[in-house]
Amino acid sequence: MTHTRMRFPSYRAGHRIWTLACLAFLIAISAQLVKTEEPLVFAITNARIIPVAGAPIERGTIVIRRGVIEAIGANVTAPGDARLIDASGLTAYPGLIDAFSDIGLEESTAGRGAAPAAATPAPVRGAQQPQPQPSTIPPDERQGLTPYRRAFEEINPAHRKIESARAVGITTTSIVPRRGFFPGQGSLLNLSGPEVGAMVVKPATSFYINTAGRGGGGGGGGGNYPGSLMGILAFVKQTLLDADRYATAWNIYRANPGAERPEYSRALEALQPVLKREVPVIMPANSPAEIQRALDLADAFKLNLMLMGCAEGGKMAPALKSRNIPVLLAVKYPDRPSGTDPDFREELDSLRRRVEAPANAAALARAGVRFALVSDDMANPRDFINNIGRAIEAGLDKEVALRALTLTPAEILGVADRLGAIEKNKTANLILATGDIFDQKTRVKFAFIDGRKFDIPEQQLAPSGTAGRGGPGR
Amino acid sequence: MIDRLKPHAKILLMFVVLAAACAAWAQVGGPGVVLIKDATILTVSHGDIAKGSILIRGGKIAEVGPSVAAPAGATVIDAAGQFVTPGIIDPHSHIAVAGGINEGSLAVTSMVAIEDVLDSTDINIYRELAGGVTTTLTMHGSANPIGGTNAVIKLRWGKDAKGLLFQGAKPTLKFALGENVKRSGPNPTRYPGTRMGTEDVIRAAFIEARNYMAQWDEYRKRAAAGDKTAIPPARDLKLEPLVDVLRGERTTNVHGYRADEMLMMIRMADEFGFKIDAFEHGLEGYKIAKEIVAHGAIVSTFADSWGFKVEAWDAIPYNAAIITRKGGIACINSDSAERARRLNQEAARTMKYGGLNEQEALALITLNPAKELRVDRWVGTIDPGKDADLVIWNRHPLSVYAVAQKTFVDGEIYFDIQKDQEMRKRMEEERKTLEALDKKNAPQGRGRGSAPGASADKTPQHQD
Repeated sequence: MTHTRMRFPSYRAGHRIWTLACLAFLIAISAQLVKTEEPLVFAITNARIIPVAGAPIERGTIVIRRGVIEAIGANVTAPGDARLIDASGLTAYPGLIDAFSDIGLEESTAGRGAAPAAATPAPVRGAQQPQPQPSTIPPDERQGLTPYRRAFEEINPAHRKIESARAVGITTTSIVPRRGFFPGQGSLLNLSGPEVGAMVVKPATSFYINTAGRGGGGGGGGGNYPGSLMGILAFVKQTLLDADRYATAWNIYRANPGAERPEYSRALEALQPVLKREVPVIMPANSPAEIQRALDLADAFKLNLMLMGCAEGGKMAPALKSRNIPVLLAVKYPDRPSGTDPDFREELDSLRRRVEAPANAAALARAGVRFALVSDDMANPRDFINNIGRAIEAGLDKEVALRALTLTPAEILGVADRLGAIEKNKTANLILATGDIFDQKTRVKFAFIDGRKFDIPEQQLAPSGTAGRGGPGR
Repeated sequence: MIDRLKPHAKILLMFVVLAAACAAWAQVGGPGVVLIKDATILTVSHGDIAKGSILIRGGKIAEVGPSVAAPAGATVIDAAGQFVTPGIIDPHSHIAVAGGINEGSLAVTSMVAIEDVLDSTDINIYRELAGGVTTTLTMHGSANPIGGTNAVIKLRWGKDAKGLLFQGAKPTLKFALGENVKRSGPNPTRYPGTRMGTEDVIRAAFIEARNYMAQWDEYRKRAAAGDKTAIPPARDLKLEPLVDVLRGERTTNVHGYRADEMLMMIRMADEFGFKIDAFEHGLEGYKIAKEIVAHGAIVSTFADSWGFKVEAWDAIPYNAAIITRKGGIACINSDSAERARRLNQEAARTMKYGGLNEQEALALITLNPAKELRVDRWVGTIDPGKDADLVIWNRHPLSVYAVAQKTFVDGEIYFDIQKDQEMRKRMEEERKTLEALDKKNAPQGRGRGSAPGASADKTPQHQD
C-alpha cells in the first residue's frame, strides 16, 4: 500500500510553534488534496523493459517526471524525489495505442445530422422545386454531414470502458465518431483524465467518411437519402465536390471586389483540411471490393487515405503496399453462425472468411503493409487483446504485433515523437504487466498515463467474452 | 549497340520487339487461339452454318465459315453435333450490385451509379454464364421516376468490378413510370403518388437540368470575357446525367408498362428534345407499336409474364412479335437472376406466340439487346471482328433440352460444364479442410494457445 509518512510535531512544544505547525500541516494537507496520491516523480526499478524503440532491457529503471519519461536504462539511478516502484517480475511496455475505437464515446444522436443548428433551417432535400439556384445542393446541414464535430467533445471521461481498456494496457485511443456519413473528426486521447482537457493529445487526427455505413433506410421505399450504398457514395462525392467548390468560391470572393459573396457553411468549411490533405480521412473497408472502392474515391479526390477494418485486406495487400496506405486493422473476427437448424450449411465463402480471418494480419505483415491493430467498436477490450493473440497464433510475428499497437499507430497518427515507445522525453505512457502482453494469463498491474499511475484492480481482469465478438460487419 | 541507345529509345525498341512477337504469335497458334470445329453455327446476322468452324484469336472472332483451318498450335474444340450462338445479352438485370439496387429515398436519384457498387463476387454472374449469358445491363431499380445510372457489364467471372465493365458501352440512365414509382415503399409522403405526379417530377428535373446548363453557359461566358468575379456554379451530380441525356450523350431506359404512360414519356422526350432508347418491359407496347417505332425506341419486354399486377393486366405474349412485325426492335429480358439462366427458352416462346422464326427469336436475346446497349459493333452476332462471346450448346438453343456446355467471353472460357463438376469436388474438399480447421479453433477461443515464450508462470513480486 501507498503511504506518505509525515511526522507530527509534539503538542508539548510552544503554542506559537503549534499554530505554525498546524498551518503548515493544513497547507500540506490541502496540497495533498489537490494532488491526492498523485506524485509527480516515479522511478520504476528492476523491470524488464520492452521499449519498442530499442532493444529489450532485462533489468532496468524508468524515471518519470511530470508526465514525461526522464530516463530509461539498465544503469539509471532513481532520483531522490522519486516514488520508487519495485517492478521485479514485471515487464514494462509502452502504453498500447488503439488507433480506432469508440472507447468512452457517447455520441449524441444528432450525429445522424437529424437536428441541425437552429440558425439554418434544414432544406428538404428531394423536394422538386425548380429554383434559380440548384436546389439539390443546400449549402449546409445535410443529414449525416457533421464534419465539424470532434470526438473529444463527446467523450465521457468516466465511461466504464475506459477503465476496462486500461486494464488490458491501452493507454491511448484515437476515438472516431461514426454516426452519419461525414460524422466528424477523430481525437487522440490519453486515457488519463480526470478531465477531458487533460486527455486530449490531438483534437483532430482524422476525418471519418462512412462509406460502408448503412443509409437512411431509403432502399426501395423512401426513407432518408442516402438509403443505399450507391447513394452513400454519391452523397460523399457530392459533398467533396461542394467542399472544393466552396473554397474556389471564397477564394474568388476574397481576391476580387465585386464578386458575389458565397454562402457560409460550417460543414464545408470544416472539410477544407481534407481537400488540402492536411488531415487524413479514414474509410471503413473490409472486402476487396470495399477496399477498391475506397481507393478509387481517394484517387478521384486526391485524399490522404487510411483504411479501417480490412478484414480481408490480405487479398489487397499489393495495392495497399504500393500506395503505402496506412491500415487500421480491426481484429474482429466473424462469428460462427448460430442457430438450431440441423440442415443449416454455412456458405463456403462465409466459412472461408471466418476460418481465414485470424491469418489476415500476418498476410498484411508479410506484404509489408503498414498497419496498426485497432479494436473498432468491440464491446470488450479483453477480446481485442485475445484476438491479437489469435492473429499471432495464425502467424503474425509478436514483435510486429507489439509495434502495431505502439510505434506504428503513433507514426500513423503523427505523434511518434511523443508516444509509442519507452524513450527519454516521450510521454510517460507505459504499463507494467506480469508477463508477455499477448499471453492470455498475463495481467496488467499498473498503467502510467501522462505520468499518472493507475492501479489495475483484480476485478477489472474480467474473463474474456466470446473471442470473436463483433464481426467485421459485412 | 543497344547500350548506346537512349533509355526511352531502348524502351521503344522493347515495345517494337514485343509487338512484333505478339503479331507473330497471332499469325500462328499459341495461347488465345481457339478453333471451335464442326458445330452448327447460328450466326444471327447471316443465317446458320450447318457444319462450320469459328476461329478465335486475341479474344476476337477471326474467321467463321464452313471450312476454317486450325493454325498450328491452336486449341481445337470438337463441337460436332453441338450448336454455337453469340453470347446472350440480358438487357435488364439487377445482378452483381452491392448495397441495394434502389436509392428510393428521393424521386430523382440520378446521382447514384450502379458502376460504383458493382459486386464482382455475386455468384449470379457464374450462374448466368451457365445459362449462356455473357453481357448484361445491370440496372438501378424502378422505385423512383429517375433512378441511377446503369452499367453494361461482361460476365468476366473472377475479375474485379472494373474488370466487368464493357468498355465503350454508352452511358445509360434509368427512368421509371407507373405503379412502382407512385406506390413506392413505406414512405407515403414521398412525392409522386400518381402518374401525373410522375410526369411532373420528370419534367421538373429536366427543367432543373436546363437551368443548370444555362448557369454553366453564363459562367463560361463571363469567365471567357475575363470577368474575375465570376464564380463557377456548384457541380451537381444529380443533374449531370440529365444534361448528358439532353445532349444525347447518355441513353435512357424507361421502365413503363402501360401505353398511356409510354406515350406521355414520348411526348416529354419530344418536348425536351431527347430520345427514349428503350422502354423497359413496355408490356402494352403492342398497342402503340406505331408510335414507339416512329420514336425509335427499343422495347425490352418479358416473353409471357402478365397479370402479376394491375398494370400488367393487358400484357400479352405476342408483344415482342408484334413490335418486330411492325418494324420495331424488341428484346427479351430477364429482370431476374433466375430467369436470366434460361433466356434461350424465353426467346423460344416468341416462336409459338407470334410466329417469329429462329433467327428473329435468337436476335431478341443477342443482336437486339446489343443494339439497345449500343454495343452491337462488338457483340450480338457471330461475325469476324466481333468479340468472341460465344456459347456452345448440346442441343439447339431454342429447345428446352438445350444446356450450355461452354461459355466464352472475349475468347476466354468462363464456364465449362465439365470443369464445373471438378470445381464442385474441389470445393467440397476445401469445405472439409476448413471445417476441420474451424473445429480446431473452437469457440473456447485461443484458451490453450498462449504464445510460446510467454512468462505467465512467473509470480510477480512487487512493492509500491
